[in-house]
Amino acid sequence: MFQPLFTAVAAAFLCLMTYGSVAAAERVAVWVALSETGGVHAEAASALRAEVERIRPGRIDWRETHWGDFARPVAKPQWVVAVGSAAQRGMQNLFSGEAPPPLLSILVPRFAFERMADPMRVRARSLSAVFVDQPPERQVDLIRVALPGVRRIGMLVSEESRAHAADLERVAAERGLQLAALSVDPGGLFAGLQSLLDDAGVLLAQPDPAIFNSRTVANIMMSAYRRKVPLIGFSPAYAKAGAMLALYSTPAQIGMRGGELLNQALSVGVLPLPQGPREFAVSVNQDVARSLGFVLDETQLGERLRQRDRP
Amino acid sequence: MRMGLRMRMLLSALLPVTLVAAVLTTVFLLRAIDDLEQGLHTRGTAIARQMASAAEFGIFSGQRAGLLILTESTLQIDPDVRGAAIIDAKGVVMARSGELTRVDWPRLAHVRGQQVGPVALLFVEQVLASSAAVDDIYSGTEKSPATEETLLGYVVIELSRRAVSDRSERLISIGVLIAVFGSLLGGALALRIARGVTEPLLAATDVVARIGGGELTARMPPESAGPLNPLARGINQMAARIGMTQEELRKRVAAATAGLQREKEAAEHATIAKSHFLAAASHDLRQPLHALGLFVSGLARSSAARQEPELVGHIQSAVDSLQNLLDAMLDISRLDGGNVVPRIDVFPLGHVLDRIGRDLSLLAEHKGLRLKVRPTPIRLRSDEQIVERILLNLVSNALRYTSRGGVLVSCRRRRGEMAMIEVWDTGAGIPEIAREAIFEEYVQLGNPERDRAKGLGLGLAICRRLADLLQIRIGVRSRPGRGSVFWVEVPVASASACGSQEPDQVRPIELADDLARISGTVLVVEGDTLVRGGMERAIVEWGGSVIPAASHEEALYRCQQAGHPPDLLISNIHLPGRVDGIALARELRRKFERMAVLLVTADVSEEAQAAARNAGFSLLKQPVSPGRLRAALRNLLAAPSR
Repeated sequence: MFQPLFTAVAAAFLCLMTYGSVAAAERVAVWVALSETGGVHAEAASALRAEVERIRPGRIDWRETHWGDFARPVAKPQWVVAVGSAAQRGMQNLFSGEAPPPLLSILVPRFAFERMADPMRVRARSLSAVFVDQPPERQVDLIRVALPGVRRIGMLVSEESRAHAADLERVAAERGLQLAALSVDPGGLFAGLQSLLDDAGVLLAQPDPAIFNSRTVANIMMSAYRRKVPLIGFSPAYAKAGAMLALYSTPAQIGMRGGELLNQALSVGVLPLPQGPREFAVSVNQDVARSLGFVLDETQLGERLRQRDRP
Repeated sequence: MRMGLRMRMLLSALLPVTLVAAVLTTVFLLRAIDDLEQGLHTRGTAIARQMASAAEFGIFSGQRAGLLILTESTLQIDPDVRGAAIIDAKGVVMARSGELTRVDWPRLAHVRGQQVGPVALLFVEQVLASSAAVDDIYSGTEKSPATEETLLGYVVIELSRRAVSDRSERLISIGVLIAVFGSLLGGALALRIARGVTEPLLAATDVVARIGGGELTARMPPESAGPLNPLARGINQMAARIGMTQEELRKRVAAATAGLQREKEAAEHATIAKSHFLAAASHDLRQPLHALGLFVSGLARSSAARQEPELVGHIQSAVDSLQNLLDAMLDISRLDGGNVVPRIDVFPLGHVLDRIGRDLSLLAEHKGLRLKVRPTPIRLRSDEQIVERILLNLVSNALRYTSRGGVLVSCRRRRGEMAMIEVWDTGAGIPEIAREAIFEEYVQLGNPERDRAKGLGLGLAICRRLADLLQIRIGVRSRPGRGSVFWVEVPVASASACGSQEPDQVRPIELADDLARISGTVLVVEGDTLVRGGMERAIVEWGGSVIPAASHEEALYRCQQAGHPPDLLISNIHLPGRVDGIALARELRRKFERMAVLLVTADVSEEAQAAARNAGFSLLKQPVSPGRLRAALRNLLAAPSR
């Protein structure tokens, strides 16, 4: 009667002891460097760690703090996660000039990552990222789903963001849409807008601070609104500020994607290629939509987009 | 008083009302005007801000037409906006409407309610690019950018102050109207209240004044007093109390006065009775005394006297004393009764002294004394008769109390306007302690046995009374054993004054030869048989013939019977029947023009003497001494009829 129970308990104890020792032996040191402690950065970091812990519970030796708090250690970590552009820059600087540990940067705009990243390391799969930017396909798909009648997409670009326009233009063309990317400088913004809005069915905002910032966005929105051209933003703030639609991923979604990539990396030893977040959210400013004569549903739009996303 | 009280009450009520009204009005007006100004400023600021926010996109988008619509509509919406403009950041005018005073806007930057020109306020508001919170992790900015604001341009507006000024003026007029109305209302109320208080007060004052003036029946109508009703009641009670007290006092005084009146009347009755008694007594005494004197005079010349000369001498002395006593008593009584009124006139003293010397020379001779009167040219201003009486008394006194030597009467001027008349004697003198007492009644020195021949002690008392009557000084200085000097001071007449009496035309009643015989017929009219008989006998003895008559009728009858007119009429003023002595004398004078007249009377009153004097007849007062009568007869009979 008691023997099977004893055997079971003994087996479990042994098993636990064995596991503990194995875990201790195989624990991976991972640094999580935050651009800012708290806020969205901490949220993303938290989602990332939760995802990793879900797959590898207790096997990661986490060290999470503000990037400035990390000093040159005696023992390098095996993996470094940077949350935000500042953290990425800080970590790159910290390990410059020698064999740096692989670095996964999350919650960074694509153009910022590309400006800082060493292409060699990216190709060597020692440096990767999860962008805040949505993939061009998803953006064009959103236009097709939400605004089926639109054939021509207007886009304002600066010298810096001009490169992205090419990807978008290609994706749009694949889906039978035209992209009118107009390069403007801040002084000629209104004149550019006027000509762009003349024949664009939708204005697609890009995370380019030279053009879209808090001081310009109100007048851009007003101009678009006066021309009855809907604006699609890239953050929930745009939907609040007057954009009809906003397509974005939450920090948790980005962090979770980061966790997935880190798990892959832990399994295979190298990082995957930089990419956009897999999960996303669509926000609709119903007032603007109503004013412009559209009837849109956030959930429905999200669902249809996800269906399109799936291969 | 009337205006003063009312004015004061009015002022005290009106002043605070007016003050409060003025202060309140001023405060409210200032407040209201300040509110209006403040309102204009607030409005200007608000319009400018609103325009600034509305103009943001217009400037951003360069839409001048839209901006012009904005400025125009601002002008239309608010009538106080006189001008509006929108300028971009470089100072280019994007839109402009209405009138604008200032054009140097780019330098203005930010102005709120600056006074420009007399009637405009300038407001300048910056147009800033509005920001939308889109800078976050998605936008690619690592940190939120510094919140520097982008200047897009300016909004300029000018507000007219005219409407506010108009409204302020209207407010001021209304405020002044309200203040004036309030003051008027307050004044009217104050007047009414003041009248309610002052009128009863004035009525009370009036009533009190009337009561003070003696009108004790004055009362306040209590229902009219209003709030001062208790005062009115009090005044009425007071007046009633005073009235009662006064009435009581009046009754008491009346009772006391009546008592006094009764007593006075009794006293007056007593005095009158005494006077009547004295007058009657003196009259009744004089007649027999007169007769007695005449009889004694006759007796002295009769054969009987030769047998008992000593007895006749005593009788003669007793009659003289009696006569002097009676005269003195009557004089004192007349002087005490206040019946003598001095008649002040100017007269020569020399005449008076002459008469005294003549009258008393006989007495002096009898006593073996020298009587000397020093002639004087001095004229006095006084009552001649009284002065003569005083001097007569003084000289007779001096003769009486001097046994050896003589008496000297002299006069000298003293201190210019006074004459000092002195009577010197060589008598026993008067001790110093007695010098005042001798002027009192019945005080005689050296006559403790009261020998009547030495006088009665009334002489100096009469002198003192007469001097008092004339308000002149009388006195004595004396050296005991050597003699005395009695003196009297009489005012001297000024050189220019002259007497009413003709100077040297006084009756020259010659008494010199008293023993000389007389001749002529004398009509004696005397009611008293005794007196008539005495006179008849005396005149016959002196050598005259007599027609005696008891009355007026008898006198007329006897004159007819006699066949020749009488040379002299001696008549008593008081005759039996209705015709008195003066009337009879006049009547007979008309018949017998040459007839002389001598009136006699026992009436000592001034009236009787004045009546005789007025009629122009000589008068002798009874009792007439035989010597004096004889002298008068001689005089009148010797003189041509007068």
